[in-house]
Amino acid sequence: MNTRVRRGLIFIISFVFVLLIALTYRQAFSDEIASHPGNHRALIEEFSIERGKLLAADGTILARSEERNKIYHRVYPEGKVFASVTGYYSPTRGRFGLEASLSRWLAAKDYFRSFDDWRDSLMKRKRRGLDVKLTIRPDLQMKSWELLEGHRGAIVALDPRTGAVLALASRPSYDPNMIDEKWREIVSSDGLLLNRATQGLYPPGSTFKIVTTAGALDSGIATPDKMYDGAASLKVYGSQVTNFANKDVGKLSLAKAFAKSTNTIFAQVGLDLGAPRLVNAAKKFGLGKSPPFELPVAKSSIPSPGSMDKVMVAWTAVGQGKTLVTPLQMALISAAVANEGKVYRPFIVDTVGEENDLVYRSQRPRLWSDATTKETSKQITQMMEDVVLSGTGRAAALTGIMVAGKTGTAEFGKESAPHAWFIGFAPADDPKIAIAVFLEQGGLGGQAAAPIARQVFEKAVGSGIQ
Amino acid sequence: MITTARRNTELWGLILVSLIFYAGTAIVRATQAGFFSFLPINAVTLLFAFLIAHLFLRYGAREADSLLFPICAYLATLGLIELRSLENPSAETQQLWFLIGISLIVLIGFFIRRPANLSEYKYIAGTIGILLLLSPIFFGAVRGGSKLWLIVGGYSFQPAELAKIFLVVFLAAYLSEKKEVLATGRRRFIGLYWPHIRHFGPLILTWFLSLAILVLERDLGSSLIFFSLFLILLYIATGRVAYVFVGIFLFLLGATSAYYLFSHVAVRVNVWLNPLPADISGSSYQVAQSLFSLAAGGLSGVGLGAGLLGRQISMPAVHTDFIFSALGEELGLAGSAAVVLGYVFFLAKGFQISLSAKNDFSKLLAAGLTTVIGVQVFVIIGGIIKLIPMTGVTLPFISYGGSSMISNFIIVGLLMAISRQNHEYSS
Repeated sequence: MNTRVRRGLIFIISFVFVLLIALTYRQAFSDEIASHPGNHRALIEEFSIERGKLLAADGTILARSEERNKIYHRVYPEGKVFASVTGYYSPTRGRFGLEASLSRWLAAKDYFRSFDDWRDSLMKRKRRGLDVKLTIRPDLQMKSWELLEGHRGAIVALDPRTGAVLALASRPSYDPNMIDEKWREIVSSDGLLLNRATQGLYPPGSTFKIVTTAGALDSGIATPDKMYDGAASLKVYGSQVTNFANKDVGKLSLAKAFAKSTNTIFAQVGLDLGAPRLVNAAKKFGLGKSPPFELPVAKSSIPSPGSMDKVMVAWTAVGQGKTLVTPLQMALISAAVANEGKVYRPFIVDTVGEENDLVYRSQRPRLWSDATTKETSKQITQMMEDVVLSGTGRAAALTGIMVAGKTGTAEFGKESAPHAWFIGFAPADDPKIAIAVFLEQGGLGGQAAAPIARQVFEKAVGSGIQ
Repeated sequence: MITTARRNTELWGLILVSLIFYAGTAIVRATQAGFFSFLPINAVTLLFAFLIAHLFLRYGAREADSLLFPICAYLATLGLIELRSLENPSAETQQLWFLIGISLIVLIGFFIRRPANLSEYKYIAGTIGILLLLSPIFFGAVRGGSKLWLIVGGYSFQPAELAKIFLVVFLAAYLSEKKEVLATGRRRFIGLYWPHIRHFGPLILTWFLSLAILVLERDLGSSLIFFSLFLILLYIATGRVAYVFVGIFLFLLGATSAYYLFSHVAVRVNVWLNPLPADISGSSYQVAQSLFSLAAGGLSGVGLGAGLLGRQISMPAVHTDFIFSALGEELGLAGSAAVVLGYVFFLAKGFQISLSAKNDFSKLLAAGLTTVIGVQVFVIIGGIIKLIPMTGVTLPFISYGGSSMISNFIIVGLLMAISRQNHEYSS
């Protein structure tokens, strides 16, 4: 009988070994199973971390985590106003905006700096994410948000001396607190999730004349005093470039034409400059690439020189071609002029970590692109001052402080109202804030966008921007 | 001298198990409460219980096997640690059941000096076994889709757990007595010689019994365990492989009909074939979550007290049928393989006792008791890792449950009594 007992043992033990092999397979080679959509482990793990706060420059809390039933929920005390900055973080809808791009710090998941971090992670102790302090100024952001009331549009304000983003508002927007409850509504409504400040692409209109002018002055084909004929319309190969309201402005210097935003003159400048130099000037200001930034940025674009005929070159120089820009890009152009021709890398993250235990501090300034020369930028600044003093941008003027700016009115269809632009900086002699105001179908830049810009400048100066 | 050395092995084994318990509970507490505490009250209680049991065995049952007790204490300890890690309120109760289990080992080791004599009670044992098995059909309460529970005066217990011991006693006694007649037959039928039908009577009854459990109590697991036990003992007793094949054929026949006749069987099989449909919230929820947790465990596990199964992820029966999934998640393959290897030792030890037994009844009894544990382990772990369809049975020594703990420790006690008797015969 012992032989058979032995066989019985071998039989049972061999089954148990099959069990061991299958177990090894289940535990060690299980990536496919683990990635099944019904497996919420990764999510649960993520939502059991207390994420760090998002703070504005003055310490205002823009996003914090609140524990309910062992799961952390994200709360956005400022709601819609800062949604274009914070983005959202939801168990079911994922992450968006800075919540997505700064997750490495906010969740501090694989971030070990000390023995304590390592031990806490080993013991699965709850760890707090790192707080991130932004460069955003809540008073400017709030003001920008209020000024956009009733509009679809965006306002971007930068510190031209560093590239720090002071305000980044976009309307219409969504409430990041309601992302789960109102998801359907949010995605089905027109463009609520589109961050117009960084991802909306629009024709620049006459604000682009800054680029054309810079190209012309840098290449030496023109000086501010060079005279042009500002006829009501200019024939280019049987096609026509026309002035606003078909007005004949007579003979004007380039500087005067800039202040009055005369299309026919800038078309001539563009034709004199030629497609390659015009496109090159635009690229030096940053078109054709997206600036490195903490939020996703759409790439502003200009057609390649080879693809442009003369008509197109003329219209592009005026700002009405196929050029597409983001409000952030236009703010960078304005900042470049303010900053002696240098474009600094825009950034929104100031510091990461506790006040006396910083993990990261923004480097400032960091050159992104050499747009133009110091001399050219001085000349353009002069012209932009004239725009506000006596030209199309008078509505942006402030008493006691010199504002430099350029209006833009981008037509994109015969039927609808044009997009309104204003880009500029203040104070003109010592720039501390550069902005871009964009209003979708807002009307004339000088009438709709310039007054808004004035109020942003006013707020910035009033609250004593340094 | 040899026997003293043997009991020393047991002592060291039990001390080692106490240390494992201490380390395990300390890690669980450190993970959950966030601080490390050196206070080992529970571990000391357990060590104390071990020492008392050991002293009784040292002086009352010196010749009994010395590894079985530490091995099953090791397994039960892992269960205790895991229940604590699951923050399950049953953790304290389980420790009580464990202590009762230990005393059962001592009592049996002390008082059952001649387990061979149990064969005299074979028909009583058989009758009790059958009554226990069938009782839930008449008095049972349905839990988790199966009718396995008896509720007596506020306490509930699973009679199938105890029934298996009585049935092993009956089968071992009956087969050791009838093995010759069963092994050699005179009548020829479907190409084989068969003994007279009356010798088969009780065996056919057993076969019907396992089908009845399957059909009337919806207990797939117990049905499979009894049937395998029956076939293995039949083979060991008679040496006729043909019986095994006929038995397997009959079982497959029964199982296939059950698949087509009973929806609950069909559901289990379908979940087995497709455990991860796009929507796992239905019948495959437990098996899917179990597979996810094994995957999450990987090689080294997420750490004691840090698993999600049964806490952030709700999981019915995580402390009973699915405790192995929780162990696999927290301790990884390293830990789950350590559990399986614990059973391998247990099986080897049990069969070794069977081999050295001096009479056929004791051999069959030891082999049968060991087989019951072995098959149960295969059925539940195999179900959890999707090797076979999931059937709800407990993981011996580890799952929470009084009925299960008591019957399994009775099995250990009986095996130790047999080993002791072997030794007495040989000296």
